[in-house]
Amino acid sequence: MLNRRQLVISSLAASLTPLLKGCAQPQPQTPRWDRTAYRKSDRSQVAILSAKNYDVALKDIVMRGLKLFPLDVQGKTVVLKPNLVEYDPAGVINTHPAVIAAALDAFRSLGAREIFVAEGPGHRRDNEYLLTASGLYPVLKEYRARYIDLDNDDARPFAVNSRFSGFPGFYFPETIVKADLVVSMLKLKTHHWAGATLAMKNMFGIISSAIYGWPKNPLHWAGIHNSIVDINSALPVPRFAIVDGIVGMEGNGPIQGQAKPCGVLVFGDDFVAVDATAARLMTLEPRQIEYLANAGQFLGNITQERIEQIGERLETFRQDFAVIPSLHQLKTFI
Amino acid sequence: MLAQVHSGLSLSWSLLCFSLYGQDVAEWKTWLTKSYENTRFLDETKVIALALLACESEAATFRI
Repeated sequence: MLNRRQLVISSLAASLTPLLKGCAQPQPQTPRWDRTAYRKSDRSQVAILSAKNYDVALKDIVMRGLKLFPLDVQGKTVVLKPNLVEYDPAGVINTHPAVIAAALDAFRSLGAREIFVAEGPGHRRDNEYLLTASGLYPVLKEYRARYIDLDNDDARPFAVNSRFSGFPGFYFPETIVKADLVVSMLKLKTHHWAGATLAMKNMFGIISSAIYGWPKNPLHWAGIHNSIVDINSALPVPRFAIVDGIVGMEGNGPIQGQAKPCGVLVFGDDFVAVDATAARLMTLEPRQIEYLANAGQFLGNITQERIEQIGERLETFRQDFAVIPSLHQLKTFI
Repeated sequence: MLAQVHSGLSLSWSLLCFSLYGQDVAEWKTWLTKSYENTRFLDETKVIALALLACESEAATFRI
């Protein structure tokens, strides 16, 4: 039988041996995703369209943005997934209700059979409070759109073919996996941990808190960047992104930052390319954002050369978004 | 505060707690009814169930 001293020594030896071996000879890198499962396209398209404020004819702008892409939603089910986090009297935290209204109107005009608005808020459990306080409820009522609380939706497991977070798979809500198109409707914001919270990070909201706990802590424990990549790589649904960058948030986002007007809506079907473009709009280097750098290897395009801007010029709308001191490397351009 | 928070969940919990401490909850019931008329509590089963408990049995729900 081992005594305590022997147990400590053998445990130390066991934990140090692979470490020392690793020092002695380089280990071959295990690929972090199944190369057969993902094939990113050579080029992606993103559209930046001017939208000065929330009072302009947003439906026309959203229609123009959607028509730039080969989207066929005739007779289909579309799920709009806004970024609805916390009540905010200044209206900066959440995707603005006017943008959601414009999207509801536009997708209906394009012939969508059913349109749901769905979110699993990470901060507030009380959806009714969040919807009424944020001003989204009157929009849902006006457009007779049903809201689905993803935190309490039925869910089933899906395997993940990338290995960043350590999760073998994720439970995704039925509303999401049954959709013909999921539209990530995000707010252009900095994020004090992830660097930026954009189309890919917005997908955190589809992970059920009833299964993963509040506020989805295991996803954070696994590393926020790692979870963002694995959730997006596992999601088996066609996706589209609409960025509410009319007024964004800089500084200590995603909740305590300051309003930063940018005057744009951004559209695209490659979330990596949309996020890279949105980062560039905020004058952040996408390759310094860990999840984007990793996703750019297999999920979508991150380099400017591979992203065709089919709307207006990025440089016209670029704003210098402030970041917290610990994220200053995001301002170092590669 | 009462005029600002309209959600069925918060109103139901408030009603239950105040009634447990012997407060008059008639006004809370009015607000809860108005809230249901406005949003139908987004058809969330757990909120509807809690509201029913709050209105029907009030503090008795938590008395052993």
